[in-house]
Amino acid sequence: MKRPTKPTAPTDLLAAIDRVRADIEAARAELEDLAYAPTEATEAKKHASAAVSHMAQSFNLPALARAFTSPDRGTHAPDTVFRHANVLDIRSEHAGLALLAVALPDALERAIHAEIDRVVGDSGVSAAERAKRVEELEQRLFKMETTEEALVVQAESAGIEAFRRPDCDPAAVLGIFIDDEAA
Amino acid sequence: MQIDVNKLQRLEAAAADASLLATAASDRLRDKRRQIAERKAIIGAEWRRTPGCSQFPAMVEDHGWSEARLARAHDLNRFEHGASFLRSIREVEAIQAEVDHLTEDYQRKQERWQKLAAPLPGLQEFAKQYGHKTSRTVGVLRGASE
Repeated sequence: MKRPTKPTAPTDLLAAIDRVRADIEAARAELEDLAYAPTEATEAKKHASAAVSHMAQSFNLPALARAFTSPDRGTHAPDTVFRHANVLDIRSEHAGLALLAVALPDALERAIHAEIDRVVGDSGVSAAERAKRVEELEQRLFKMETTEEALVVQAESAGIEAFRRPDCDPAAVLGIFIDDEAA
Repeated sequence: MQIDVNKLQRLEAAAADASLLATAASDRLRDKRRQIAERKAIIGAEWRRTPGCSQFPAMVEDHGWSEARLARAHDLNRFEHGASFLRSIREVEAIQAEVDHLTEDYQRKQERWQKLAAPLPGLQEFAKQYGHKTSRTVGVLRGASE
């Protein structure tokens, strides 16, 4: 494990541990923010358009037409026809949305896209960007956790009790790594 | 990734030792609390038996086992057994000081044990994922109030 630059005095060591812990907390908060950051507008609109298209396809118009043209069903109440004709490939509570996707797909898409613009604005993150930033942050976090552990071990060697966090990274504490400088 | 099993065992042992120290501190505190309770009961019984001391229990109830507070509230020298009463108060105060000291010691040791034990479940679970057996017992602390 790569050792951090050695602070000598006990107070320096404990202060260094506190500093790296504050950095770890900040990085974790950044990761959490990233996890909750909305998807970038263009990507979200693509998902929305695909969903509208899926909804429209899930509404089985030919089956509905067959149901109404069938001599024995055409005279039944409309809800009976809907129930028996396998009109919907989706859950019935989505029937209204599916019907809207069939009848007015462009209007539905436009409405959803406008709402996406309103909600996301410029704050969205693309999936690729999110994955890249998460990876970078996780690498940075792990480096900080190994630095923290090295400082704790250094403190212990100096006879100073520096407790490990309950949520310390076990890999940073127990993992055996090749020292970059020694390799 | 390789796991430093020796390190985990060292951490488990440190937590187990801390647990023993905290349990011993808890026992000492409990004994001292028992001692002060018994001493207070004996002294109270003596006062009730001794003529001219019947007012002492009520005074202690009002002001506690504190020489300073009792002296502020009463002129103890005017009582026939005032000097003896004060000696008893001082004796209990001295035991109380020991109780306070042992309470702090116990709290310090319990906190240390908790801090040493806190990361162990995560570390043990991690080691288990890599096929290492771990000691599940990191100390069971009895409460000082038992």
